[in-house]
Amino acid sequence: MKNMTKPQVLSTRNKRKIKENLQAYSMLLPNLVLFIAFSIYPCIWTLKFIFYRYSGLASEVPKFIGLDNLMRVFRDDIYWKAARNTFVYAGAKIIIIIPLAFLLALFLSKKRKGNGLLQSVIFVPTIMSAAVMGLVFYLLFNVYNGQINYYLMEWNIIKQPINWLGAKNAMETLVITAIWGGVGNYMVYFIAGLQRISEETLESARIDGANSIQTVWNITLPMLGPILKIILMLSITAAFHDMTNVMVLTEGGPNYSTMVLSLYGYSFFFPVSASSITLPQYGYGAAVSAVSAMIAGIVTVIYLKLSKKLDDVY
Amino acid sequence: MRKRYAKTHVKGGNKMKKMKKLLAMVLVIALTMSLATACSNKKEEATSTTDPTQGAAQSTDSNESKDDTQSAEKTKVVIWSKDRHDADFITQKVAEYNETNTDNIEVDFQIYTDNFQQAIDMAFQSGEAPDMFSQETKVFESHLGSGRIADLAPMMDDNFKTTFAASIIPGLNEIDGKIYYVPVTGTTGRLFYNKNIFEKAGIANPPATFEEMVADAKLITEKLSGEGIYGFASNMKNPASALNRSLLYQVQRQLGLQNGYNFTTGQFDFTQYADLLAQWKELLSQSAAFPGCESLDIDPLRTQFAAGKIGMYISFTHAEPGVYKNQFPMTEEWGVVQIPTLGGQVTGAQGFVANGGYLFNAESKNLDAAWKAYNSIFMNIDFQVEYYEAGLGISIVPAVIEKAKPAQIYIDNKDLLIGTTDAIWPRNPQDANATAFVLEGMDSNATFASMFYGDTDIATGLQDLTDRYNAALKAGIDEGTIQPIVKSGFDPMNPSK
Amino acid sequence: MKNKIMKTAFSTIVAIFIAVMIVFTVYPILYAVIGSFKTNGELTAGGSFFPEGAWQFGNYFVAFVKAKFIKYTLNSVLISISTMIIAVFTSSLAGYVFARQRFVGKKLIMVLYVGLMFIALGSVTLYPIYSLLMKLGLHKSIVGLILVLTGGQSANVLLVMGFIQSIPKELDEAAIIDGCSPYGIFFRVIRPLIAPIMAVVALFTFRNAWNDYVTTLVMSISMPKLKTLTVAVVQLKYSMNAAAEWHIMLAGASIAIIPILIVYFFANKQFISGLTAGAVKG
Repeated sequence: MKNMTKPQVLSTRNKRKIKENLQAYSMLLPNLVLFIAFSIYPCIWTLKFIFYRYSGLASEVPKFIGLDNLMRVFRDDIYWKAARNTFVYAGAKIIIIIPLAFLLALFLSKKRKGNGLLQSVIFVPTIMSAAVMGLVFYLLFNVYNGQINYYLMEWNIIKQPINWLGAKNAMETLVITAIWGGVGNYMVYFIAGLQRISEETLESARIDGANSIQTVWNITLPMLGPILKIILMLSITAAFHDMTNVMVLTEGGPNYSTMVLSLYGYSFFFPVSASSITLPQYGYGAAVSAVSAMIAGIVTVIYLKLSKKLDDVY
Repeated sequence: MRKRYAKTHVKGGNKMKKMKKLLAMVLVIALTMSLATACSNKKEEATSTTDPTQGAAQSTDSNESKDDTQSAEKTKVVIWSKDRHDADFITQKVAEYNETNTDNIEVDFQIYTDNFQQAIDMAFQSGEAPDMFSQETKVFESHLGSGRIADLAPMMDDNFKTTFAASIIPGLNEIDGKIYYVPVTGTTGRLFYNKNIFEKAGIANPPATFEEMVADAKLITEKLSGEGIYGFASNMKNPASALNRSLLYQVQRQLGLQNGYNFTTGQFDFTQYADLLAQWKELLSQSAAFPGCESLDIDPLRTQFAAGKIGMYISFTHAEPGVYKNQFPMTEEWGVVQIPTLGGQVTGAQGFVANGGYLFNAESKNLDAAWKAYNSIFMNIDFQVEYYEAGLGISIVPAVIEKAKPAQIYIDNKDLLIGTTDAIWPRNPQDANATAFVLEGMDSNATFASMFYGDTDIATGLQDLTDRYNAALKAGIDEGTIQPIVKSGFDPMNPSK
Repeated sequence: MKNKIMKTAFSTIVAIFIAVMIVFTVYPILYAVIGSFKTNGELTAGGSFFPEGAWQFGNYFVAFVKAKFIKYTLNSVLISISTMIIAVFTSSLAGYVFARQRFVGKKLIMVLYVGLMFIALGSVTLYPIYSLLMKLGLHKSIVGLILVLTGGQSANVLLVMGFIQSIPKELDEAAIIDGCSPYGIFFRVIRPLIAPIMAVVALFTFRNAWNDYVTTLVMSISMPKLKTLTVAVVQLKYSMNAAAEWHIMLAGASIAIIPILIVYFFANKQFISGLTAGAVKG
């Protein structure tokens, strides 16, 4: 109707615009469909079921229960134990992995024969399946006939076998495997950062009489600032997501000592054997996951604020 | 190809070119690989259509031939089993049936050991559920209300009803006049012990009381841990799996409670567990238990028992004889006794699980064929006699017991059999209303595990547990989703009355 | 003099540190691969690093034939390659549209793409995705699993978008003057230029699909014919007699590890540079 009253020129422009839009959408469509189906739809589903009780099993109709699920999260002791575990896991992993990765990058980024190969070797775990390697670690760390206890006893480092997967040590073991799987990844990030520092800057520092440790401390580290921020950001989000290795190695046990938020949410949809949920509780699971996502979001925001403050200090 | 790629790299040549080559290489690999898979896929399909009987019987998971039903012109009956210890036996029987039956029925027997319950749940949701599947308590309880489990009563003829009369138990499998499955075997928890280890440690008899059992375990660990032999083990990686085969039965005998539930008062009371759990904590401590019990699954435990590294453990009677005969052959001699109680005190009958039944999918199009195949294979008395004689399960069918010569293992170990001290226990409100009973926090088994391995105090933990279970019960009753269960004059010695 | 001693001491420490890290990295992999040639008895005894007796090539035969790994390997190959192709195709088109085209709703859609990268619901999304596939009738076919593993790929799209934005616009404009349609521009001008970033997307999606455990596990719980190598290997822990048969478990693990190692051997530079491209741009 509108078109009829408007001048002819506009109409062709409109036509062209429509055509442009159609073309753009036709190219976007394959990805957009996937995005809507596998990214947007699950989010909407989750937001809805936070307010329902639903086990999905019987011919049961989901029951609207308002904020009950969310309230339950706040009185759920296991949830907060899992939250604490997640922070311990993420903290330990990051505190160990970042310096290790930095040192490796520092030593292996020098242009020397063999360093490229060594880099490639350190990077290998990054391409491996966390699940398959979880199985291998499960055998290696086995308390009664795993190879690690065998060697430690053989070399007289320990007298009694260490209960690697027991309630007291399982978290440490988990962190060790996480470091194994991630250090190469962060090393590569650091190498990328180091390559941005020009040789001249380092050279001039050396001419000024700085030794290597001073150069690293005064020049390299500050200049790595921006990329270090990104690396920390990535390592925080990654540590909050890790689940596969936990699932295969310990299933969150024993006694919830390695239960992390991501796995706890999962266990309400697909019960894992080491937890006490035997029937799915989709509604509560949605609430658990939403609160966890919020916690992760808050941590990220705090981190971003802090790193901005650090910028101001410099 | 590798060489050329390397060269361009060394030259530091055009980056784009290098990438292009790499991409081309990846694509070539991709294409050849996908071609290869396409071909082999076709081949696989071809063989399965030309010879549908072959392989179907042993297949643990091939349901791709499902689509071939029409072309094969046979009625396909899909059965899911959760058991491994009798897999060889049943697989062979199914194969025989497939070759000989005249009803044009083909049975596809599949074994789902891991995630059995989830597999059933998801299969039902997607309309892909098998025609019949192993009865398992949790699966049965969670699907009972949904109308997806077929009532078998209309299909039973008089002959069937008389033969299996003992297997039809009101309140268990017969509910409101409908019969949902027919158990043919029974199982319960008993203490298994390694006779050689007991001898080595200088212990004459298996323990008669729980205190004695803890002392024996400590003695074995103290004397023999140098050789890698320990007194007791439990598959505590999954506390529910470990304690539902041990503590659950022990509590029935000792306290007359059904997982904390008192049928007389209609309330949960876990506080009575305190003394038992204190002994359990000792039993699972370093001074008595196999190292790493808290991350042990049942099969690794069995391999260690078979290897003569474990003095005692508690498990189900139906599975273990088959396990040590076929799955993990054991050279040393094992024995079996009743689960000891504190001071040998017994106030209740021990429950047993009537198992070996199959549930039928009410939505199945092949219900009649499934029933036919079920009768010809599983409900055949000769089959059950052979099954019993092979030591694969303990029959509760009179006709079978009469005809069978029990396996030597049962003659030597009377306690493997369901005896006069065993009875069927009614379901407590939690079991009877699996989906409506919403417990917040850790369930009983996980709480017990946290007392054994964490720092949860037994007394306060049990009080808290009691409160939470009763709160969940009350919430369900108030909402009308749970029917209260109170039995005045309930006698734990006679729980099924 | 003192300086020199300090220097040698320092480089010795560095060498030791690197050596330790290399051993730490390589040991579990070698344990799996070498262990897969041992007998079960040797493995469960803990013992020596290399097989004491003959190398047991038969373990692989058992894994391939008895544990049906041939089928799972084919699944893995088919799923990983299809996922890779779909991801490369869809994300490059979408990245191009975002970088170069103007259309109604662009802002909103882009906000969603960026935003959902940061909202981490994680595993909770698996159930709704499964139920969606069920509604579409795709849950029993490998196509469904391939689509799920391809996923929304907002990260890939944004990566490609960033790359295309760094390509001078004059190239497109010249093509427009020549009368090219957006499709023409994409296929003739842009596609050849974005090959490096496409290789990165391809490698990473291939790796992710090959290694995926949780998603594939969920999709294959009631449909075991969809199992991939990764899932099948982990389930060896519970299935058959494998709980006791470490040599079969390790043979399975090696079968799952070795193909991706071969891909890495040919493309390690791309993996490493791709990672940096993602990190620095993102």
